[in-house]
Amino acid sequence: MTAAGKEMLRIRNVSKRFELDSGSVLALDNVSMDVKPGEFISIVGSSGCGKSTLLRLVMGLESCTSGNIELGETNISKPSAERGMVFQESRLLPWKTVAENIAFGIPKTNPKKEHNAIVKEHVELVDLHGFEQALPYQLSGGMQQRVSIARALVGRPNILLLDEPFGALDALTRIQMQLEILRIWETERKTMILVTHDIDEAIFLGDRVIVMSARPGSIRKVIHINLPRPRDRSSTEFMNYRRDIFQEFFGEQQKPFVFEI
Amino acid sequence: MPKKTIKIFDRFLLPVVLPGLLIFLWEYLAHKGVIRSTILPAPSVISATFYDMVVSGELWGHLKTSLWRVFQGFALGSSLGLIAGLLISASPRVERSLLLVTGILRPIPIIAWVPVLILWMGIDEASKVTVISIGTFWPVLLNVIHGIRSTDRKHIEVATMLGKNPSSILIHVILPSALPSIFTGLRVGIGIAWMSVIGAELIAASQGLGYLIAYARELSQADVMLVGVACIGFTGLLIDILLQCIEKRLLYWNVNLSGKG
Repeated sequence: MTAAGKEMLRIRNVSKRFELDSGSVLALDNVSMDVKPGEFISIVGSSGCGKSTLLRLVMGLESCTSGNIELGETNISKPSAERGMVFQESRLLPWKTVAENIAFGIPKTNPKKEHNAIVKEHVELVDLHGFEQALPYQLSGGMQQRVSIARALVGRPNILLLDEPFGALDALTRIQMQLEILRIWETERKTMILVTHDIDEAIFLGDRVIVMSARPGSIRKVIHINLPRPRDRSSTEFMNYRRDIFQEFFGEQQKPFVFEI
Repeated sequence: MPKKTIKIFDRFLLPVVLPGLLIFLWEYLAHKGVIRSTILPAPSVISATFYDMVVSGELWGHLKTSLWRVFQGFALGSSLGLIAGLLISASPRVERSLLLVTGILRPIPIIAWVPVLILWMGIDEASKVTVISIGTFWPVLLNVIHGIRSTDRKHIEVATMLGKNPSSILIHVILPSALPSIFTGLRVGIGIAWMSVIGAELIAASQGLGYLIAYARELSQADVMLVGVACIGFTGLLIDILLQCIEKRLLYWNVNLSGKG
């Protein structure tokens, strides 16, 4: 089953201002980008650069102060089943089993009798066979995040938004989950936008890496990753991309990982 | 094996060691004549009276009357508490309009209502059931509000994102999340209901455990009084154990409750 995302996502001159008691904060300043159907975009930036805010705007959880976001011909103003989102915390409902949590993501327009088949399909997709009746507290962090991914996918969205989904996992589980998300991307061919602060993760997964700068959040640089998948994290090309992105953050003077004689 | 023996000792024997010793001491002092039997009869005398009253069916008659009143009052009071809690949580305007009324009514001791309600409703069942329902109402109300307020906003956000309507969010997210707190309210409520019925019966009744105690006092039957008092205590304990069992069944997913995790 491949439901390719068919429509272009257009982010046009988007700004977002938050009104706080202590004054207003410009979280995003004039951000524009186009995301092609089926593309994998990684967004990296230091904390507070508005990258999560951008994702929430694409989801429709918040509205733009100015500018607009369009998916195909429609303007995004509220959440919809055509976009799914995974957060840093799995946000599973603790009183529902794995199967029930996944089923919670099925839109109500779907006929009831198909529910079981849809849940089964997605349990297989995220490799959780045998855990359908487990409760969230019985699962490891990585497994909880798999359930969360399945829940975001059961509505058959064209776009999957990933807001630092592996940020809370240990390094080994994180690498495993990166491979997993790559496999899902390759089988489902959905548009994916990943927000992360892990530069390796961004290069390993993305067709393009968008580097954002903070206060106000804006796009600093867009880097195309021209490497075949699966990518070798220790290859020279990978290292070069990595150095380029590090330089964006730390400048020429400070190179935290490279020593030159 | 010794570890297991210690476990059994801790669990079942430890709670009865202290009461056992006290009863033994009490019996001993009563036999020595240190405690006057007209004021505090020996445990053996009380047990004999208890046995007689059980065999004659007298105790059961009173207990049944009190329990039935508690059941009616508790059902009424807790349902009203639940409904009012939902309304207050749903609308800040309802909350605001009730703020002063609840503020004044809540601190009134339940016993203070008894004479008032007898005047309004007569001396029979209605006034007693009302007293009990007032006693149950407050703890249920406060805990329902607290439970609903402490629902994780992130869970609500996920449900909104998945396109759930308000009633579905209430059923799948808010109520399950508030259930532990609602149960705390019900447990406190039934405790107060049980105390209220005795209070109401002490003042005016012709049946029930409270009446049994008040009548025995007039006849200077200290042993009957103490049978009544003990019966109130044991029944209260049994009700609480019953509610805890239901709670464990219903809140199987609650890690804090089951001690798993």
